[in-house]
Amino acid sequence: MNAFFLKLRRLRPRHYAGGVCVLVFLLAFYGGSLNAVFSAGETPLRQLWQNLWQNAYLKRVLWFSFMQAGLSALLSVIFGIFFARAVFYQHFRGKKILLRLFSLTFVLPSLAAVFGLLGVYGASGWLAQVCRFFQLNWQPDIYGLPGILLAHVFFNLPLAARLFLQSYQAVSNQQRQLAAQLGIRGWRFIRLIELPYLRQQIFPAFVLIFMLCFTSFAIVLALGGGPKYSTLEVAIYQAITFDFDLAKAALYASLQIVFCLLLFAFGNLAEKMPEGQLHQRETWLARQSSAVKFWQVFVIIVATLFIALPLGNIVAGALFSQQFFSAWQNPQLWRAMGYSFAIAPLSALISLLAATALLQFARQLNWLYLPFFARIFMNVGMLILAVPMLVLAVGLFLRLQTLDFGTAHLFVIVVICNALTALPFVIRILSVPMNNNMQYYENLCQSLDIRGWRRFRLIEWHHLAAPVKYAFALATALSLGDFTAIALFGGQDFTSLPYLLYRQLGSYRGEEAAVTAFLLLLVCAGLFLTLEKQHD
Amino acid sequence: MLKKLIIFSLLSVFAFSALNAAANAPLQVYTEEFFGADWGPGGEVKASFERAYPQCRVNYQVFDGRNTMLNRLRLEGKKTKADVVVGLDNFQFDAAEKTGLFEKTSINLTALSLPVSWTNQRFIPYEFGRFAFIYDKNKLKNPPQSLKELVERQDLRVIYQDPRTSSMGRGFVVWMNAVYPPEQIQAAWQRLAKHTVTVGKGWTETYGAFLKGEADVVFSHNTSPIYHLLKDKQDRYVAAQFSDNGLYQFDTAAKIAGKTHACADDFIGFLLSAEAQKIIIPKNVMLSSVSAPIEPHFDQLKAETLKANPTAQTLSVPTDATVKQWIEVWQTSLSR
Repeated sequence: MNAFFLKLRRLRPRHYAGGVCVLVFLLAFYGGSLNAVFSAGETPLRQLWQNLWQNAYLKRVLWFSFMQAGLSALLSVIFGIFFARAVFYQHFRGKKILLRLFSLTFVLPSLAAVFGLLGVYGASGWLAQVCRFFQLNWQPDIYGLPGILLAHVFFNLPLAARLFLQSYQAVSNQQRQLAAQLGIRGWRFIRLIELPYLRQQIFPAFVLIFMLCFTSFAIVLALGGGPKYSTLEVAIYQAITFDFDLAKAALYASLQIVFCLLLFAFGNLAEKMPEGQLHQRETWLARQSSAVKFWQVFVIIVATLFIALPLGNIVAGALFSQQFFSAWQNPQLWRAMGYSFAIAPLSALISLLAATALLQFARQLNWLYLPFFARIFMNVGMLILAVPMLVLAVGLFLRLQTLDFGTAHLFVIVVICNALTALPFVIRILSVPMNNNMQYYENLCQSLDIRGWRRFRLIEWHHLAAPVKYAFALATALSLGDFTAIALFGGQDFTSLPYLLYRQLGSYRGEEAAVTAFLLLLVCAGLFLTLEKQHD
Repeated sequence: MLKKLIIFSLLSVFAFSALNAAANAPLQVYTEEFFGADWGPGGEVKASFERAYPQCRVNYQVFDGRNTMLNRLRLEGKKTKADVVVGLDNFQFDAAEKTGLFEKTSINLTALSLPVSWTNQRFIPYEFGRFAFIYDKNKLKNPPQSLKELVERQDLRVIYQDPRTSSMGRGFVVWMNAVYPPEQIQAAWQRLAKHTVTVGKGWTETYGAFLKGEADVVFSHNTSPIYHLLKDKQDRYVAAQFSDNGLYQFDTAAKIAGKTHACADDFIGFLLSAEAQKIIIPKNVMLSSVSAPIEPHFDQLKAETLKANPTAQTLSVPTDATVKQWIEVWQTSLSR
């Protein structure tokens, strides 16, 4: 106990001030909202608890949520490792562009992605057309569990691949050269050298993707084929929108949070914080056997087709649209773009700052050999994913009801909510490089007394530049426009590209919607291509 | 002296503006985006209403859906700022009446021309549509003639909306329960499930999937083909004509109780005028609730719709609890 306090005494405000502020804000923001929803409900909590355990529907929903999320995460992680390994070892033209474009699937609005997937694997999609052309008597049927898994892997494979690529890049040249000298090759190389690095990421990546799929909503409904396959999120949506049973919704949301928390706690047992390594500019790779090379090229081609075809379907939909030219003159399109561009970079910036503050504190705790507290810290940031936006929206409305709301207030709420939505991903991307910086340079910086901004600019930025740019691009794209948080406030002035897309599809304007989806894709692609251009 | 003069004149300016504001406080209208968004008819309706009633001003508060709007009203309760609510439909009447927030309007109901005889003085319908399955006549040569046939026909690939997330889906559940008695409904759901492609989140997702060629028939309104005809110059999409009793959706305007805004009844009444209907109907792609001619396609469809159901009954609205129970039956029979 004494040692614990001794360690704490070594903390300085510059280590913890930012992190604690962010933490307090998160707890107040989410805790306050949830609490408001709970107390607004009319059904007493005890009765709810009793109903909960007798509810066969809920049990089935929970079971299915777990099952599909587990399978989706498992598949994404496995294919992610395969793809990351193949891309790491193979050199080909356009590799960097390919990697950047891969991030696109992750930020697409689910509606656009679903239509893209249907355009390829659907009953009249490209795959079915190819089969018909070759007179094969086979029709793809993607509805049900296969469709859900397909869509989830489509969304999350690129994320997983990005995370694992970091691990492969972390293996040092010296280690590779030593292994080559000792004749460690093939499976033994994977097991002895690569696996320890991968293990850092496997569980965090699994947990992140699991959470994303656990709370998945529109995809499960669109491709699930019926109520047999539903997630807890559907039950929450139903409880709020139709039943207006706020206490029940809040209870379900808490249930979701508790499950995710348990998952994290379990995950922390397996997670190892990274150890220090040497760094290098040029990567040295041992020669590969041609069989391995053949296999890796195959993996790259298949994965690229898997990701690119649905995106290509969206592009083709726009190019063959009869209104390809007239749709651009729509003033709503430009206004939506204006709003998207006003909100997204601001949210991304806030998200980056919050993540850095949290990680700064977490890595300091880790340095002081308090990894348990470091993890608690990170987990709070990740738990945001488990809170359904709709529940948050009701909570926010109840809390802020008395204020007189103008557009400026709503703008602030949207920016903050979008920043928080992106926060878990930013944390995931930045945690390894931030920790590595600590391990490599903390002693050096202390001995030379390099602190604050100078330390950041002179020392840390070199390793942070690439992940920060990627995180910024991802957060910007993610923040392009979700306004669920202000739905109840009635923000008629707001519109954004994803929102416009939804409304165009909702009012028979499919041709224009195709162009909007195309523009959205273009904007995101532009973001990833330009923001990440300077480095590597 | 000068100081006093300034203060006095300032005071009078304040008083005048305060008075002015009280006399001319805008009518607060809560509405959903199909009416109020800038591509909806709301803006034009507001402009011509303010021309017709120069003493009134209208201010919209737009929500992204009618359920969000109802939930906002439930959260606000008696403290709501709304004077008028535009966009609640007949499947929400039970829940809306339970809030006790709405009061009767003084609208003359004899002007209405609807397939049912309307007696509800609280909710005034300004447009309606009949639920129907839409199919592509180039692909489907022998469309079903009734809902029962649609359920039995295993060769038809069907898409409809999830009643847990969509008001369209709720409408479908109500329709199925109107056609099938309680002892048969489970079996009917299961037979339908065998050839159901998917059950989507809302109209947007399901209709989009249908246009992508995922299904033969999709649950929608019987007005959908007019849109394709007018906007896309396409006549391939047709609404299946069913012999069973039809089910209608009425979009209504209502007045909040205890508010004494002089313009509230005027605004609701104005929605039924030929002038407003000519703006609303083509933009919302629904049918007019009054008899004035609007546009040939809509007028023709309305005449057909009225003819299909000559015996005008009173509108029966299932209670929230009943619909909830029906949805549970749907859920359990499909989850086996």
